[in-house]
Amino acid sequence: MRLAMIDEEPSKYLEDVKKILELFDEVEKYGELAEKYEPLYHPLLDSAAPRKDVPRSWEHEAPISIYSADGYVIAPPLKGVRKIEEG
Amino acid sequence: MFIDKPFVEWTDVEREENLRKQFESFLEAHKYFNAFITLRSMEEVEGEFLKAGGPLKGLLVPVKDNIVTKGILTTCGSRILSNFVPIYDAFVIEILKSNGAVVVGKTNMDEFAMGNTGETSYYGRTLNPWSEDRVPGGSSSGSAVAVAWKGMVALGSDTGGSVRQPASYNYVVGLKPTYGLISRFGLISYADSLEQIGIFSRYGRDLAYLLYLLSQYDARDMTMVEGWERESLRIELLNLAFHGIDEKKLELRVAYPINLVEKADVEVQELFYKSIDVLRNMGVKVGEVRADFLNVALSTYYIIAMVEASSNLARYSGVGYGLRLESPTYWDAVAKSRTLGFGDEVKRRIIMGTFASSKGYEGKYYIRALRLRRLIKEGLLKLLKDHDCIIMPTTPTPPPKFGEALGPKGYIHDMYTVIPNLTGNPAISIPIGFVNGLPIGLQVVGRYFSEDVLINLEMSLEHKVYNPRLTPRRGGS
Repeated sequence: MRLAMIDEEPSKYLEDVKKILELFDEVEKYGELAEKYEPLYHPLLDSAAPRKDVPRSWEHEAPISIYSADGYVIAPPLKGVRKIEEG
Repeated sequence: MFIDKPFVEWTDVEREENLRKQFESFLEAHKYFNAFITLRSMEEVEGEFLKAGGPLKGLLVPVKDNIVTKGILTTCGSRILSNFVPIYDAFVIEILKSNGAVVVGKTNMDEFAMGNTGETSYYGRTLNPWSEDRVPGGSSSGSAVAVAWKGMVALGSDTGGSVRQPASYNYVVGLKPTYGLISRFGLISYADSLEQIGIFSRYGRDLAYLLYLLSQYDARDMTMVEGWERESLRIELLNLAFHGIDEKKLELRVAYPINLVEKADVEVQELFYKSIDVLRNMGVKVGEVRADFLNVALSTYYIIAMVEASSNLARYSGVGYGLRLESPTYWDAVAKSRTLGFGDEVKRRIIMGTFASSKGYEGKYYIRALRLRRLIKEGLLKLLKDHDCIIMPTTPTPPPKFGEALGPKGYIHDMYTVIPNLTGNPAISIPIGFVNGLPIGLQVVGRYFSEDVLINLEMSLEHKVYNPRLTPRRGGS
């Protein structure tokens, strides 16, 4: 579905959009140089110490979904609940 | 006057005596400069003070309105959150409360922290107490003004300079810590790979102590850095707070990137070079470097920030919480709530962020910006191998007049402050004087987890180039 913009909004933003695009296009000057580098999503991605309280790979930990007869996913028991009950 | 010495030096009697004085100064900042969106009553504040206990007892803290506070309206400066009362406290609020401080109110800010002039708030613009026809800077405009107008400390958030830039425009100290030092749990996200909770302060000792308390590890923020760097820094911060300046930490090698400095106004450059002379007289070795890779920082920052904003702000649909405008269909209700709930600057950034990350343009803009982010980070780290800090003016000009820097034409004012946000380094803005009665700041960017070095440098400049007892007067400086 396409959402309609309120009247006059396109023209209101046009000048600003042009200015922002000019700013965005400045990265093109460095396009060739940029290709030598890998994208950096997080400022400390390389140098941050990894978290110790979570598993290193979530994929191994992801629970396998179990479906009920009517097609709904049966929620797995919450981790730690048993411990709390026992405690 | 109660601001004549740091909070950490106040006696128990002074803490009690100064409670009302602090409140009255915030009330003035609210009345004269529109520094607060929500200011609590003296009765509420006094009630909490009587129940409180801890090392911060007697300290009233203004908090930026994008940090959630249980039971207190939190609007982000936006109409879309005009009825949002959080059911929990941010980590930093938990720390403040458990140490005896009282949150005095929620400060005015640019809508969703998007802006650098304090003009885009739905709740009206904030005025600069040094010159009421000038902008106070942003986005943490109210927090900076509250401290400038006889306050001690305040909390803000810094995504591209939102603490340091208003600190510079209001003659107060502003710190953006290392990314991952302070928990962002409870900070309403705008661009989460760039932003950190920051601190405004009048004195370096208070800043060191508050940072010591707020930098405790919190497992609820998955981007927090855990390790010895944090704990050794915290010990250094405690030493600074209670023993003052460490002369050994002043044996520094500092560099300024001439290609950036020469883009500032001539008067700003003059003041900057004067502060370099003071640093040299203190024994700091100051050198000049060229860092052309920093020229692309501004466009890199804006692409990343807008893309992250378009993603983060998708949650405001008018369905879960916040403003909901009734319409015949679900899609109409979402469109109406967002169209009328967000202001112009927020909509501009959502539109452009969506565009820059859309299929076909992602590689041209967003991914390229992320590659350049690594280039900037590696370049800066290389500079910081040979130097302890990088210095430059916090802003290229003194605070502009209202309207002069509103919208995209004002993005240029962030050219110095966005750099540490891209790389995650800590940075501080230290007041260094006035140009035609308008405040100017010096930005010092340090190595990761070197906040103690930055605060120590600030403390050594107190009463030399920066007078922490100086406050503005009504109707101009």
